[in-house]
Amino acid sequence: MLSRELNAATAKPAVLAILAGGESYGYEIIRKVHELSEERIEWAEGALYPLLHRLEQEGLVESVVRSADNGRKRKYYRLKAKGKAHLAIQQKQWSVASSLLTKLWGPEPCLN
Amino acid sequence: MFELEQAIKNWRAPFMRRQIYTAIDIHELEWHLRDVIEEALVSGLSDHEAFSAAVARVGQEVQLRTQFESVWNDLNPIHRYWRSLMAEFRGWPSRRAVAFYTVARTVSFITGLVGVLHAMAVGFFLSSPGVLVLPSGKTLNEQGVLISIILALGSAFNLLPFSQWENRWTDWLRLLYSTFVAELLLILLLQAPGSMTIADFLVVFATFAAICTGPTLWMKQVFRLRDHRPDLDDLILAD
Repeated sequence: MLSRELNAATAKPAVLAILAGGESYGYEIIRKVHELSEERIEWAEGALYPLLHRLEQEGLVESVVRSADNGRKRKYYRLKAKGKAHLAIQQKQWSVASSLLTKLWGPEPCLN
Repeated sequence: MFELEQAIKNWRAPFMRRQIYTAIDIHELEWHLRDVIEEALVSGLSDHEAFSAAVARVGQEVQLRTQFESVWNDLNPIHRYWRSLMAEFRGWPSRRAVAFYTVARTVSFITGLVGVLHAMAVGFFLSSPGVLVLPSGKTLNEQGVLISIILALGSAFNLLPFSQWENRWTDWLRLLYSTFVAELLLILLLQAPGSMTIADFLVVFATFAAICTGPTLWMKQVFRLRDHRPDLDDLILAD
């Protein structure tokens, strides 16, 4: 549904925002994206991991391997303080972009 | 008859062959794949259909490589070296083997280095009397031969990622390559290159390679590395 570039651009703030709601693991993050976008955004699921690893390298998130309730192991990611600060900046930038486009397009998206 | 576990193993295999994936990366991808398979099975798909659907969603190694590679390329060199070392031990049969190998490579590397520095300080290598008579009539003394062998072994252990050897020819090519590097290093460091003839070089090369072959073969046999195919349990070793 989204172009490749837009997908890549939204992935980082989306993942940070999901982690701001509490720690999570790859599969759960993907499910949340599907659910919240009403299945209109579909990511190549395996590609989420290089993104998470990059966020970890940048010091925005941290991870820990733990067993879930069903006994399965999972790698949980958690937002760090630096990640929260980064998310706040991203939110500001996206709202500027979004408000500009909304004003230009009017309240209803123009599909012609 | 479709075997789900075997299919998962086959899907995982290409990841195991590349050092850009850490053991935990592979685990993480497999856990995800299994979650998607489970979801598909619950919805009523057969094993085969569920597996195909999950692979389509998660992706194959070749589809994910570029993104993982870009993360790998941004690592600092020390971190990258550490991760490649860990990837090298993937599929090793025991922690003891890993410990032995690590000690062997460290000791051979340090002794080789100390030997070269010592040799540079006192200036020896080609002298008389010696243990190896070269075609040009020059001889190599005992200390020179010993240090050269240690250095060749050190570079063999350090340059050969045993677990990633793909076939018997690359094994030997790498062994010959590290012998070549060790010999070249010695010549450059210890003697003016002109002091050895090509025939001398070849004789020294053949001698070092022959002596290094024994320990290399022995390591492969002892650790049964030749036919060892890494399994998921082995990955835990490198975590």
